[in-house]
Amino acid sequence: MAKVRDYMTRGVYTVDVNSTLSDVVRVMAKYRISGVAVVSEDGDTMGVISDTDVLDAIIKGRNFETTKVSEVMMPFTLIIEEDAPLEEAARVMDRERVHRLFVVKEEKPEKASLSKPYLQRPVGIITSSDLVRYMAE
Amino acid sequence: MLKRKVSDFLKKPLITVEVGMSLRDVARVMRNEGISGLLVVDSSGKPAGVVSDTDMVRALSRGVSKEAKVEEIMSTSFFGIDPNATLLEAARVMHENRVSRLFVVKGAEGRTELSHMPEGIITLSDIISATAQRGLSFK
Repeated sequence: MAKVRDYMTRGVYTVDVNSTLSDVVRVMAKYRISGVAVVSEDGDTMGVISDTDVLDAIIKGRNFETTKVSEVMMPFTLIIEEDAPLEEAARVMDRERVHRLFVVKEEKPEKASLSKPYLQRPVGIITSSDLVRYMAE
Repeated sequence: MLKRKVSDFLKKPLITVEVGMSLRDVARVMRNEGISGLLVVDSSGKPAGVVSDTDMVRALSRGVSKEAKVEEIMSTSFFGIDPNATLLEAARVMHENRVSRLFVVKGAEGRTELSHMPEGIITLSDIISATAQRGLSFK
């Protein structure tokens, strides 16, 4: 059975929690990605910001030069273990209506897919395009 | 930047798949083209639906076979935008309908009957790129 570890990307793009929305969209455009982890100065994961959060900020007329990422990010991350089967990643993405999950090495402190602050550093990311890549095989 | 017209950003040609194709083949098109959404056409070339990476994730989560046909999982609603609309208007339509791509069709705004082929597609990542190009005058 295919596992998350076989299709994930190692490493995660991050922005500092004090970055502005302008900084975030530049990172997204430069690396052609739709979501970025938000980290504290200590490197702890504080949340995630995705293209839909940016869209929301556009519609609300936020000033991109002055708005901090911490004001618009999702202040939690959804995680999955690297040993989980891909179908489990698909179930979490479908249920939570997201396109990416952060991958952690082991279950700690609670089961994967928890929707609460999580400070363990992810080892990578798995996205809907990784699942499409699996479907293509 | 978001005052610019949709027609300046739309992707051509539109990449399509045909009704009857397996999910595996649809996934190959998405992977090879690096895109997350496709127009599905019938055998006469008329639009029949839309299939996205979200549909593929749902299929995988429900144990649907890779050999299943695309019409079993595609969505038959379309969301459109007029080529002369601004990027900001496109952003509003995406936001209201919680979608990441719009088909570009004359006169369209929001849920659309697709009786003829769209001119192209505009995606949320096009809007993000445009936003990144310069500071933001949305109004």
